[in-house]
Amino acid sequence: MTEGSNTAAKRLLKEINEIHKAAARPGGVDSGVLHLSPIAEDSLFSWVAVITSSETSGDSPYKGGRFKVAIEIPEDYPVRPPTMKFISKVCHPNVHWKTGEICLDLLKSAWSPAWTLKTACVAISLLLDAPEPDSPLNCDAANLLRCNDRRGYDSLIKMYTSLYSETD
Amino acid sequence: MYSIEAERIEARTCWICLESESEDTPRDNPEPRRSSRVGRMSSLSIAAILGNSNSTPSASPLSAPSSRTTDASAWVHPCRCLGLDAHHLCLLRFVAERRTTHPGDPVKCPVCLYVYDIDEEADWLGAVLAFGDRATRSLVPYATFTAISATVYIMSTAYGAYAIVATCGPQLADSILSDDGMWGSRTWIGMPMIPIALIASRLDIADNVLPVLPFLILSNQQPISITLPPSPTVTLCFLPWARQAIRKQDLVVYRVLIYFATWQFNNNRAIYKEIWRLVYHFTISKSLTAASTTLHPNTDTTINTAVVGEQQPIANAQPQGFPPPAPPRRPGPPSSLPRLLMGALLLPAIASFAGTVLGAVPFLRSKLPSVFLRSTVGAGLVILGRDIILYWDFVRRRKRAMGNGRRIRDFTG
Repeated sequence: MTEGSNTAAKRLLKEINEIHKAAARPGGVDSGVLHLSPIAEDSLFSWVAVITSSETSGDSPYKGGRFKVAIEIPEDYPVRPPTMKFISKVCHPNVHWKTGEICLDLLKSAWSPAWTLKTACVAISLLLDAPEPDSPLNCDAANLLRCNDRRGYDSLIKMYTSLYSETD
Repeated sequence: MYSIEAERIEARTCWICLESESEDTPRDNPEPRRSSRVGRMSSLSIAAILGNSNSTPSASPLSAPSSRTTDASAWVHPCRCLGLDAHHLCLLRFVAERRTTHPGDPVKCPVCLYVYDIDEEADWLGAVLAFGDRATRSLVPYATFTAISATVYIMSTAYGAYAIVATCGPQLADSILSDDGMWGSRTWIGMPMIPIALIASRLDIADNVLPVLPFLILSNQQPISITLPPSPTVTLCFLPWARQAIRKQDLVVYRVLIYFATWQFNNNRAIYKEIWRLVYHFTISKSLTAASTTLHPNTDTTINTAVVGEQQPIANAQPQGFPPPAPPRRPGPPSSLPRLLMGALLLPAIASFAGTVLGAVPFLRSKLPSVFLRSTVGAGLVILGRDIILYWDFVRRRKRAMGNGRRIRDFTG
C-alpha cells in the first residue's frame, strides 16, 4: 500500500467517526444528507450516499425525493477529489441524465482537502435547489430555466422525482 | 461555536488527514512541539516526497538530512486561519498536487486564499517546461491549421502538375514545368490553383471571375497571336467562354437543345416558329420562356401571362383537375460534395483519354496537332455529349411525368 492510500484510509476512518459522532448528537443529522457510509465493511474506497433536497421550508420540486449517489474515492484522496455520480435518475440542469455525472466545481477544480465527503454531499444537496443553467449537462431542463418557465421546470422535476425517487 | 481559547486548548487537528495531535502515531524521535506561528514554511521538494513515498521520512536514519527535509509529524500553520493547522507532510502532498494540476499558479490556502510561503529550490526547469507547455497548448490550433493548409497546398500543387502532364502531353508539360530551376508565381500560385479552379468551374460562384482569369494570369506573356489551330494560350483564354456558353441556358446552344427537346415533347408549330425567331433575331418571346419554364421548373423565369397573346401549348397539356406531378430533377450542378470533387478532379484524366481517342483518328490528328488541343476538344465533346444525354433523358422523364409518351392500352382479351 502506498503512503497516499494509507493516509486516505486513515482519513476516511476519521470521517466515518465524525459521521457517527454527528449522528449521535441531537440535531446533528444534516437535512440534505440522509445516509452516508461505505458500501460494505471492507470497501473503504467506495461509498454510497442518499441525498435529498436540503430546503426544509418552501416547496422544492425535489421535496420527498431520495437520490442515491455513488462515491468513488481515489487512493490519494484528500488531495484529489472523490468522484460522485447519481445512481438514481435525477432530472437537474447540472446532472447528466444518462450517466448521473454531476457538474459541480468543487468536485473538479475547486476541490481542496478542507472538504469532506459529508460536506461534499451537503453541497450536492444544495445544488439540487440552486441549479446553474449556464453550465448544463441536461440541456432540456436548463433551457426551461433559461426561458424562465419556472412552472414547467417545477412540474417536470416533480414528475421525475416521483418516478425515480428511491423508496427504501 | 468555539472560542479562540477553546480552539487552542483542543488538540490540533490536521485539516488534510483529520488526525489530531493527541493521536499522532508515535515516531522514532518525537519532534518537540514547535510553535505553529513559524512564519516560513520549510519544505521538501516534490521529488523528495515522491522518493520517500514508501517510507516515513523520519524513520530512515540513512536518508541524508538537508535543510529542507522535515519530520513527518511536524506541524505547520501556513496561513492566517486560526486553527487551520496541518501536518507538514500532508500539506506538502497538497502543494505537490496543486503544482501538477495548476502549474504556475501560486498555492493558496483554500479557506483564506493566503498564498503559502514555500521555501523551495527555484524550479527553473519546471518553470520553463510549464511555459513551454502553455505555449504549445495555445499554439496547437494554429499549428494544426497550418499543417492542414500546407498538406492541401502541396497536394494541390502535385495535382496541378499531374493535370498539366495529363492534358498537355509530355512535351508541352516538360516545357511548362521545367523552368530551369526558376520557380515563379506559376509554380507557387498557378499550379495549386488548378484543382481549385476545376472545382469552381463546376459551380456558379466563379461565373464572373473565370472568363477574365486567363488574361490576368497570362498578361505578362509574349503578345498573344491568334493562329489556326490556336495555340494553348489562346485556347486557355477561350475555355471559360466556351464553358459559359455551355452552362448558360439562355445562350443559343441550350436554346437549340431545348427546342429539339420541346419539339419531341409536343410537336407544336408555335414553338417551331419560335426557334427561328431565336436563331435569326436572337430574341426570346414570352411563350418560349414559358415553354422552357415548364421544362425547367427550377429556373425562376417569371411568366407574364397578360403580355402573352398566344396560347401556352405546354401548360395546357396538363389534364384538368390533376395536381401537377413532381417534376424530375433538372440536370444541373452536382448534387453532393463527393460527386462535385470527383467530377472536377477527374476532368484532366477524362480529357487525356478523350484526347487520345481523338488522336487515334488520322484526320483529327492532322487538324489538331497538339496533345493539349486534342485533350481540350475531347473534354469539351465529352461534356457536351453528357449534357445532351442528360437533357434528353430529362425531357423523356418529364414527358412521362406529364402523361405523354406512355399510354395504357385498353383490355382487348
